[in-house]
Amino acid sequence: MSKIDDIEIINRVINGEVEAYSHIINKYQNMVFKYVYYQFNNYDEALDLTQDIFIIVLEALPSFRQESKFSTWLYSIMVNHCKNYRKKRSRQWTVPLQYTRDDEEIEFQLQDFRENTEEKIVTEDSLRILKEEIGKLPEDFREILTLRDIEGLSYNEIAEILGIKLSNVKVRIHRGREYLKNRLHARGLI
Amino acid sequence: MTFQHLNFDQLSDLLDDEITDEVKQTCLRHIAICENCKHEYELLCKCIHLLNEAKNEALIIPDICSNTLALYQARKRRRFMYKAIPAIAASFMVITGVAFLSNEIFFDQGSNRISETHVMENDTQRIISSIRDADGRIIRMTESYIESAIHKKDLPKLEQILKGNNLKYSFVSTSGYAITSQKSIKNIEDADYKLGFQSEPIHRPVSPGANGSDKNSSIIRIFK
Repeated sequence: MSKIDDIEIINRVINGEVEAYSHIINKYQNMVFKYVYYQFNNYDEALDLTQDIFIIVLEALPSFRQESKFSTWLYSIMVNHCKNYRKKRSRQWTVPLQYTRDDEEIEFQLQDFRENTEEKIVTEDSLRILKEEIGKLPEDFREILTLRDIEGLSYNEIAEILGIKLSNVKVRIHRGREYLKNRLHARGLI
Repeated sequence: MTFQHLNFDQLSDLLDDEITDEVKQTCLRHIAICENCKHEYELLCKCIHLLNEAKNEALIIPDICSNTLALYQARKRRRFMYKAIPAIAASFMVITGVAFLSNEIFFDQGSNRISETHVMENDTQRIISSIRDADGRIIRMTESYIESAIHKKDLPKLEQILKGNNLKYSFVSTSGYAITSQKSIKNIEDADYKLGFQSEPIHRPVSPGANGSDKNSSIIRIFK
């Protein structure tokens, strides 16, 4: 689906055809969910936040001036919402959901189609450690590495989304990578 | 460059291809001969490779379309309610204000009624006292008059006492005697006419001896 298609859908939604918004959700939900999930490392929380983000975007659609790509605009809302949520959460004391369901820790299932079991185990283990270490990253590094190395956005897009200079984007990416590389090396993962 | 180790920023830029071709070639030549930088570069590549693995990770996400749209509609309704709250509050305040003012008026009217009643009660008491002072006997009391039996000779005395007590009165007797503080009433017929609006028959037949009266006494009604 191209940018034009996004705009068409957006215009339909603005004109009252709210159901058309499901096309936008279907198209971007994986992207949004993955970013949120890597920010908070909690499946349920990520799912709720993903819904919240899509609702905020839907409500803000009339203010979308089409000066940038829709995805970039969506990303900036997503990033800001996650920042706000993190601030809000830091003021609250919460009990992780996985400990509240019959005292049995619940992990969501990863869908992995690789047939090589050994490779699968190594990958799952590596991913687990990687998630732990991403979770321990300072917020700025976690945010920018998720956008760059997990979501695969360009430096320019990241600068636009975060509202910072390109040079700052580069510096943050370098520092974040260095930090993570040292952590993963120390854990024996690389 | 060849004899100086590459810093992490250069390695990262090299990986992202964010450098010019010339710098890129220089970096690659250095890495080819420098074990230290080569090792650092390999570590960085593995790190980024792992992050890319995370990118390819397939997370199972339930269909959030219907839920999200339902949630949106619910929030929209709730927001509408919140927006309506100031209007509801304003209406409530207006209604309360009006009710309060009405109450003030009502209360005022109530006070008047109370004071009127109080005055009436005072009048009643004073009429009763007047009748007793004139040696009369109270037979019946209604809201509009007090009926009593009094000796005919005591009627002027009663009239005097009533005047002395500043009571506005009109009374008629069944024996044809009429005394009134209102000059327009000259006789029984006048009193009958004047007091007709009280919707009470003025001349009810009183048989001699009834209500304890005799030929020398009159049954009179003193209207308040």
